[in-house]
Amino acid sequence: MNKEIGLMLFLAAVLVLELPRILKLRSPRDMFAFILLWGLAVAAVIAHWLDWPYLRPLDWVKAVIGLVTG
Amino acid sequence: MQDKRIDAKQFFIFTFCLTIGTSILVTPAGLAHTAREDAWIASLVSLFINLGMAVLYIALSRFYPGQTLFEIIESVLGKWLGKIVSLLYIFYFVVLSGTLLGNLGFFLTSEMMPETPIEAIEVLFLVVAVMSARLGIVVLARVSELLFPWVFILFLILVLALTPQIQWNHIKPVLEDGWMPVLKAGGHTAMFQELVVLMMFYPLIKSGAGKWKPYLAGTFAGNVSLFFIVLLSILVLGIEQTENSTFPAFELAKDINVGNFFQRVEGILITIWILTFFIKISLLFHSTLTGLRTVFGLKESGHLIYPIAVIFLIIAWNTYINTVYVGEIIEKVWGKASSFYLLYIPVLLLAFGFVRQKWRLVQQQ
Repeated sequence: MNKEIGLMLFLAAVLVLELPRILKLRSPRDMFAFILLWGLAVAAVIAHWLDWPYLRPLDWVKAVIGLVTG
Repeated sequence: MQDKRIDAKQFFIFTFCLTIGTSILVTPAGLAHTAREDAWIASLVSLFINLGMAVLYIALSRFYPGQTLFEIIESVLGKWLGKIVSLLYIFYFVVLSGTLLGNLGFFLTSEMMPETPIEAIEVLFLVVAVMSARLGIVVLARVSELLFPWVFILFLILVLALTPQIQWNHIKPVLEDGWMPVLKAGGHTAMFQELVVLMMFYPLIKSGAGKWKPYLAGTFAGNVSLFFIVLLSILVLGIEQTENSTFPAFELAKDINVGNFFQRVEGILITIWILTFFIKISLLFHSTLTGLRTVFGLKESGHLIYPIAVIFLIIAWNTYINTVYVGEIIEKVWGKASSFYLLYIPVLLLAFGFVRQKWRLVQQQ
């Protein structure tokens, strides 16, 4: 649990430090991409924290390959 | 503003280190499992397949000069389909980076530092990769130039120090099961060098005749190095130990014993793998940033570095769960998945691009 808390604090710090920089760029695309990736990172940390069983990218790849090869 | 160009020597080092990466640690076991004593022949098959793939990427890059892989994808497939395919490549790079991070963390904690938490090692390497991403590709290229002599010298020490322990009968029988296992093993292994990553950096090579040379030379040199490691694994360790070891190259390093004086040097030789791993994961990090920049049309990508680093870490924790799980994925899934990105899509892009160009010429006439 400690490492997940550490990561959440880190991500909070990243949000606080990077947002002013992105606002100065005056680029909605940059803001969108940052919020999307930041949100994805937060979701991934929370999913790992809660031991979500489907957070295994190699299983997703295996499922797709299974579908394709039949 | 920093000139974002690299020279041919630096690109050669990128190619060499990307080819070796962590493959040098794990490839011999996989090859030995399928091809048995002919693993060294399978390694040569893999060399030729990789050279063929390098030629494919060079041809694609010459067709669309000055463009990265993501820009080529959008040029050929159009804006929206191009972005979808580009996102698939970004997914591939991200999963690969996380898996490599998990692989190295597992290697160091299982072989060198068993009481160190794997997360500590992964975070440490990620910090260095983040620094590399923040400082830019030119800095990484210069660091690679500084590190490469060490990789080369240590590799040479590894190979030369093991030659007194070679037992040539370990290589027999030759082609006992025919060519099929050899071709299967070689083809499977060729999907683990991920040379397509270098298409992000090929446009950065300072222009001049023979830009293609470092790409082919690096591929050749990297695969020859892998060939020597596979050959030595068979000749020194024998087939059973090679197949059953998780990290045969590390077992080789442990076997070094010259005059009962030069021994227990595996701790120094680990440097080879750490350096090549650092360069490979840094290249993947840069490629991911370049891809996101292209897909989203961003002004800059520096603000994405930290969230991507966290995603790499979470993926590392959720991919390298145990060796049995990863071994099964490598054997049955990853080769097929990689071939989609390394072979099928580039061939499709080349074919589409060729047909579109011919069609435009016909229309102009």
